Amino acid sequence: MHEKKRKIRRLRIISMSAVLGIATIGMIAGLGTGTLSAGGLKKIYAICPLGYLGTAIAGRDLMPGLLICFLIIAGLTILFGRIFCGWVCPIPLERKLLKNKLDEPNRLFHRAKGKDSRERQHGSFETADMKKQAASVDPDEEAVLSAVAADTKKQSSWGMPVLIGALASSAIFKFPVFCLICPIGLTFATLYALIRLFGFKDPTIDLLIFPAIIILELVVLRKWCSKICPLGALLSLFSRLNRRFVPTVDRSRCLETTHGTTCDVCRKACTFDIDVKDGKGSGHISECSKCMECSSSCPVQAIHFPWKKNKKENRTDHVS
Amino acid sequence: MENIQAPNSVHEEEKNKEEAPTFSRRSFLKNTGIAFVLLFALGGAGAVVKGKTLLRPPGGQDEEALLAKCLKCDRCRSVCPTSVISPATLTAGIVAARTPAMDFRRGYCDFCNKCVEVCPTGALASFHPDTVRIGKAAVQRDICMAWVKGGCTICAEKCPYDAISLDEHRRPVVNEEKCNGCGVCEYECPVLILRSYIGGRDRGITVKPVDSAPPQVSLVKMINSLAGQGGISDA
Repeated sequence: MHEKKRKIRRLRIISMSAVLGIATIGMIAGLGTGTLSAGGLKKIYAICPLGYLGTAIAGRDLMPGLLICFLIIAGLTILFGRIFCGWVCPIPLERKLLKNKLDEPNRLFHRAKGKDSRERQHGSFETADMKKQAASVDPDEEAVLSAVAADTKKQSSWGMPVLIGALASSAIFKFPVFCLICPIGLTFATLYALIRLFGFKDPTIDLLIFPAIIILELVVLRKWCSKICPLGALLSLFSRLNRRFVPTVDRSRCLETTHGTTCDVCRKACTFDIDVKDGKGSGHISECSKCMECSSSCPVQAIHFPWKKNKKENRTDHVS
Repeated sequence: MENIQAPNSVHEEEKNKEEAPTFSRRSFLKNTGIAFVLLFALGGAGAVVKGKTLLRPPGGQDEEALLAKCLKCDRCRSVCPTSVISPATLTAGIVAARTPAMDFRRGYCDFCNKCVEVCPTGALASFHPDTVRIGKAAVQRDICMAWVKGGCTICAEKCPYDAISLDEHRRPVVNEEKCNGCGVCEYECPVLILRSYIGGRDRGITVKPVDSAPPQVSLVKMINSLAGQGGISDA
């Protein structure tokens, strides 16, 4: 099971690194490929949907060609969900570099859980063990759960407020304001500052300031991806219509059904605190970045990401 | 469907449904307020802190439109065949940072249009090759080899637009009508090699933004006119 988790994470790291690597090669070789802000070959390119909105509002120009591109990205997000966040965006790679964690841990549980639940999370999930654990319902578990439930209500998302604030600010000050502090943009800016340093022997102040902003966002603010990122919030708007690859619990395998116990391994594994079983988490299913941490953490492999919704299975299609 | 739920979680779910909406709406409004304040502060700071005027690639002369639309995506810099496009650093201001600027010590502009072609948002707009002006070249008379010692005519020879003529002492003079700021003169100027002992990074001829007249030029003009040599730079 841990092998599976490692494998999925390795695949994600490879996918993110490939995107970052191709962009870096393009930057060094001078192919005009661009970055995740806007990238592609010649006249065929994709544009950051948030960057599009920012520039369209600041420039008072709909830019019809880019509107089509924006709609295509919206369509892809409806089709595949926020797959960008889990497999393309370089920010998890940087978190891995800074904190040795690819994803933001579900802080709710990190604060609330007791010693035994920590053991459970890190212990080996042999099915026999689980059965034993399932047989005896831990009294502390209830306390942990109620603490989590109380915390769930305190959780508040900043994504939408930051998105609205950024666009309003762009409208008034007539430049895409969020681009200044976007960690994705600053990642490529830092890369260019490095190219400048080693390629042109031109050290710049950017090389200190840009990484400092990224570190501030990822380390000090901690929950950037799940609670603050306005790009994620924008993609979440589209992925509310996502019906493919939605994490689905096979009730005939889930320990909650088979043993009547309270297992929350999948929810603990989720950056966004989505509870795929019954939607009690503070995260909405539309936030799912398809990182597959839940399915690879599940001790009984009860979670999968089906192309099509199977009506027999209990899907988390709730409205929060 | 709910028959498998542990009793306590059913109870909790009811509680959540009751209390969550009002609470989240209030916190959403609060967060929106805070986000507005912070992002307006950032936008305001960017609008207030103005950096120095930059030389933009052809098609980027409308500064307001460029700042509004530039995504800082790096495509124009990356595609430039002569590497003249060098993104501005934070020293040029927080909004101008990472936007395309011309560095004629690295290259010159041949108006190949590639940067305009790859610009996704039209921050670099299409331009007319006959009327576009990146800037205008200005001879730095205290640095220029020909003005200080004589003997060098490289900028006048290299200028593709015949915008640099030589005066009676074979010193370069820019014809501002003909100069479009392509930067070949600055790129080719060998003064930092010929007079490497003077230090600094400025060359004997530099391209300046069209709008802002560099003070030293007007000072030179004043001295010249006082000395009865007026009209040379206006030739």
